[in-house]
Amino acid sequence: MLGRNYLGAGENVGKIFKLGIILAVFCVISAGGLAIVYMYTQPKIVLNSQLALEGSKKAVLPPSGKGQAIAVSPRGYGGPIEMLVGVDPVGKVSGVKILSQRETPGLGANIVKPKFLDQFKGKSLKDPLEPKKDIDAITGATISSRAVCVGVKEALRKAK
Amino acid sequence: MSLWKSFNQGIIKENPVLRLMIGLCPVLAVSNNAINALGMSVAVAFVLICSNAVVAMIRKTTPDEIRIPIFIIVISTFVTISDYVMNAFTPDLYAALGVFVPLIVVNCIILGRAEAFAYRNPVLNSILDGVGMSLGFALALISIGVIREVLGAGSVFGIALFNPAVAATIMVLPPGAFITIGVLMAALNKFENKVQ
Amino acid sequence: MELLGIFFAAFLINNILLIRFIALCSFFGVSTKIDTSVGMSFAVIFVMTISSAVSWMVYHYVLAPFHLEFLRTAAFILTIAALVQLEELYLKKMIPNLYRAMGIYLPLITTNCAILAVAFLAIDYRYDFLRSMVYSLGVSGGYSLAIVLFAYVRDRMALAPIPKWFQGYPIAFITAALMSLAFLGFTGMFGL
Repeated sequence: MLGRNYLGAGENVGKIFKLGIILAVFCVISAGGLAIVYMYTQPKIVLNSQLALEGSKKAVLPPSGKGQAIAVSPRGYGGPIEMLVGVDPVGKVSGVKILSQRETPGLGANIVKPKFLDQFKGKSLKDPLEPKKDIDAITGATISSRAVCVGVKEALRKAK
Repeated sequence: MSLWKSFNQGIIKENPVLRLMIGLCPVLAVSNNAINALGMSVAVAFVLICSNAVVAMIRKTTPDEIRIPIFIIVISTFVTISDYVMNAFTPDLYAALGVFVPLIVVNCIILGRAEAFAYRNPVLNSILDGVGMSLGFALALISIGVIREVLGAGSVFGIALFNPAVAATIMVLPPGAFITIGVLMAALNKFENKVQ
Repeated sequence: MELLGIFFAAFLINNILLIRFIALCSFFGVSTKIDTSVGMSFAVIFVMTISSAVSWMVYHYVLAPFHLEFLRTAAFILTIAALVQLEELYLKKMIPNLYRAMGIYLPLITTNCAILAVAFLAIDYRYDFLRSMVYSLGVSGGYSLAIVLFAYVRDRMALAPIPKWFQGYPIAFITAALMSLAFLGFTGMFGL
């Protein structure tokens, strides 16, 4: 590099060796530091995701806690919509929660709002579960709204 | 270089985003609302200040030939720390910022400041340079975030201002990011021309 | 069919430059001339394919078995930097014509965040080896498409009367906004 040709071959090898050791020292310090951070944060990260899942389950199930929470991922406009559907023991929807989605912000992404999701409460397989029939679709986001309906239906069928 | 100058040149005069045109990716990608913009600014500030400090500390013992790999190791260490800390303590924000947190490692601002400033200046100056540059970055990022959120979702920091039905959704979609930054740069050009 | 879906999703729907906003520095930097944008495109396709293969292997055969996932940021960036150097040396010696065509773009690529982003995203999406290769081809193809189209538009723009304050970068951003809008139209295609 940088015009260091004046070094002899022997010196060059020694130099490369020295540089290699310096780099290795840096790598070891960095990896050690990261290992400590990892040790402290990892349990918390695992706990967080467990808590989040528990919380979502609690939110979609009836207050008694009976019933099943079923995860489905229907295909939305921007990709799969991961959602959790609570079904009570008599086969009615007790709650719906969107875990992750990539719908259009401002339009399809409004499917996460309670105003839309609360419509599904109390529905069962006897209901049509379709936009414009018994569900008010989100304006400008028929595909996303229909995807949620499909997901709820799928969950109800699975719960049987 | 005076301490004050180290600090304040990054804010407007050499604003990394609007002037030097570096570090654009996160600016456009996570500025669709003000909270994400703030979170990203904090993460970048943490990495930039820490890596500037460490690079300035080790600059006398670092051989010239391998300085770049060493900078990269230092930077990626701090990026990984912020990655894990954010994941552990602010999981929602972490999910919203996604791949852009690990991508801070290739954010040209950080390697650029390590090479152009911290490697040639004392620790205190380098820390102040980091603070100033982070403020400049945050200023650009948060103002774009606020503009996009207000126009596109009718709210600011999640607080509703007006009915979102009349907001221009395009502003929170990808094209809105390009429009906002383009108009902002033009406005800065015009403003500066007037001052001169 | 699923592979085709992954390819087109990466190529058009989630276009890395216009929709995902990754690697924008190079998008504005090298699109001033058509020639340079074509050269950069080839360099990106070449490096991205190789580096995503290598970083996939590094993650699945080195980091994961030893539970060292927390080193992935450092490991990937160092792998990519070393790989770019090796590719440069190899091309210079073995395929000098190709080296002359895209040699000057290779060093720039180390800081091109698209390469690193693809390595991360392929891991995040839990793609297997074949899928991550298809994905990286889609991404680099989408990169090339967007940057070459953009270079042609900017070429035309040189002759257009542009308001004084908007000359240079501001108008480039507005143009990018319009292109991004066009690419947004691909969303929902192929039922993805």
